[in-house]
Amino acid sequence: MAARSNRSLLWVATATVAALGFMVTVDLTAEAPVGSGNTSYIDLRTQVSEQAQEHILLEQQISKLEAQLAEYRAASGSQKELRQVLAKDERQLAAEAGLTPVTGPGITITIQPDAKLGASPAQMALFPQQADQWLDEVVNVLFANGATAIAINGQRLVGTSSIRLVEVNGIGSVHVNGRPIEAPYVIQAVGSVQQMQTGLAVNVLQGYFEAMGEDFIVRAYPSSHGVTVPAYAGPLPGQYAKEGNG
Amino acid sequence: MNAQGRVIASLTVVAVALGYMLTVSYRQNHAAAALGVLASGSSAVNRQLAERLNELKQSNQEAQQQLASLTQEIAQYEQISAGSTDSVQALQQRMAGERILAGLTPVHGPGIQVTLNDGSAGGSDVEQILAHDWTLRNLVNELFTAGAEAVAINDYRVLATSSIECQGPVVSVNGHRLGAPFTVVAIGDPAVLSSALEIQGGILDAMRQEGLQVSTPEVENDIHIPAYTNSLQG
Repeated sequence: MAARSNRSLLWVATATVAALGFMVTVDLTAEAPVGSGNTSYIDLRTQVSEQAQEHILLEQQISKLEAQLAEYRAASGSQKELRQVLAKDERQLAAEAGLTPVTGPGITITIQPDAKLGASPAQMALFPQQADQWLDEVVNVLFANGATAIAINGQRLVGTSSIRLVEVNGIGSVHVNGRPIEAPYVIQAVGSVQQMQTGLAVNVLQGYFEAMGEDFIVRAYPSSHGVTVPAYAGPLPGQYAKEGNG
Repeated sequence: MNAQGRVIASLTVVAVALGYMLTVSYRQNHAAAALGVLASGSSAVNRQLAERLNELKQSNQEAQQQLASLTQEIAQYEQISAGSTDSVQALQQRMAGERILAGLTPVHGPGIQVTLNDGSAGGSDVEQILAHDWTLRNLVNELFTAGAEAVAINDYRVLATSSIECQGPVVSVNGHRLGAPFTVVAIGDPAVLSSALEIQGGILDAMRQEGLQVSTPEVENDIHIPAYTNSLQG
């Protein structure tokens, strides 16, 4: 009787330990997939949300082109009317590409060396070595915060613009749209004055520039004729990139 | 306590521990399921999301094709409207150039492709080996300097007037949140674009020195880049 009871206990103990072992194994092996599953889920959610947003934007662009096409179709009976639609189309395209000046409320930012800021020679040497990256940073913050048109020293920034430090015989100068510009750098930006000022403040750009011994003077022009950004006058793309899906 | 009593006591402790573990395990699984985070990536929720993503991608591809086809139709009307004068070709070329500059339509042409990825964290400073917003901005800027006519990051068109900013673990490009790896494609003269990036001590060398994983630029005969969309303005 006692022997049978002991055997039963042994079986129960074996079963319990086996269950425990099984659970520990499941728990340990389940840990890694939970983490990756989590990432995958978030990734998927983000991608779905991005593609859904993209879809709305594409639909808007399609509607715009369909409206344009409808105008051409409506005018197709008369060469005179067709030319009027073409002229309108041309004006709109030139404006969207940055080939016409833009006037509106905006800000200007003047960046120039200022010995009164008390930066050391080493700190003051920093900006001329990285001027292109710092100007690019300012422009990026402005475009992310409501700027609709920007020029640096009269060079309008468009879809294929670049801001690049070019060194010739040991002397570096900033080139915008392939043209050299010199300090003081004056950035003109048309757009939401408040949004742009907030963006600059959040990114503490004035502090960074002043630490390098550079003034960062922001002036606001809130009136509808506040700032005029000139038109882009450089070459147009199309030598390599062709419209359509091939 | 005799031997049998000790065994029963031990079994009771083990059974209590087992019960506790079962409860914890059940609760964790329940919480995970509520979040849609089941143990494997092939959960029902993830499958649904993946299906939805594929549908949206397909639909967006069709929308890009529709954009291209509408542009083609408009270009035909432009030709008719301008009449049969010598200036027709120049006018059409200018308007096409303006559309490309503004990123209004999908484009294709020869160019290069390069992929950036975060480095592997072997040391202390993880920040150092991540592909940041400025990394991508510098690369895009370098490509436009070398004459790129159209650039895209992970299939999103980038203009020099785009904003590229870090948003936590991802990079926001025109308001689209993108994660590494970043595949950057550019249409332009492939030889010029490649040499601008691969020049000794140039931008890709600098990125590799920082610990980023950077591929060698690959020349492609026909790269397709979609039209520009900006969810910040949308």
